Amino acid sequence: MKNRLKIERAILNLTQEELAQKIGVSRQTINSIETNRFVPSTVLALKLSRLFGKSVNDFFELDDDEK
Amino acid sequence: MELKPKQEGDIEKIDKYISYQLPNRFKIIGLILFIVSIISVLIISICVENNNYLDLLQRIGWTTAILSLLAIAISKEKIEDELIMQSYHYAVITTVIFYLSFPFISYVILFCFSTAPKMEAIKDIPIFLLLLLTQILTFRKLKRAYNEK
Repeated sequence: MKNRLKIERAILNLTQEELAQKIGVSRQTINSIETNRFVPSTVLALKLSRLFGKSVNDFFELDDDEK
Repeated sequence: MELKPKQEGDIEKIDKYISYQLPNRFKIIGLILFIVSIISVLIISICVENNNYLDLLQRIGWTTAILSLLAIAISKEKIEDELIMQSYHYAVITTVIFYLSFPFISYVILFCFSTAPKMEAIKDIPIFLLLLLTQILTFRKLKRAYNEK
């Protein structure tokens, strides 16, 4: 799964640590999502969606082989 | 998906058993205890000459070391999230797989380097049975609890 988390975070001018604090996870979790090493749960995706003010589909996208 | 009260009870019970963790400060306490107990065992084996006391004190030292490692293993992280829980589950699975395969590795090593190898793994069979039965029964219980009817 691809994601635009890093870009969305840059738009809000947040560091990984600040974003992690805002949604109640560790900085490692944000880093792992950004580097595609960890796929977050629906709850976490929705928390990010609320923070960015965008739909989950706007920053998470299935890979071609997952479609 | 609606779960029946019994199914919810089963899931809650399993959740309660597998998610119990000590507070984060037990990581430091465990580490200090581990270092102290290992140093104590070393000092005891050098200084104590009486065989009866030596054995008893060494057993106490090793037991404390194991309990302190257990405290580190089951204590919480500063921030608990889904990545931490996933890592924790992977670590437990890796440990179990390592534990299950270790006697067979030691048997292969014995087979290669000893003229008359003994089946050392036999003494671990009851523990293997218990581990595998726990895994199978917990999995079946969870699968049944989540099964919609």
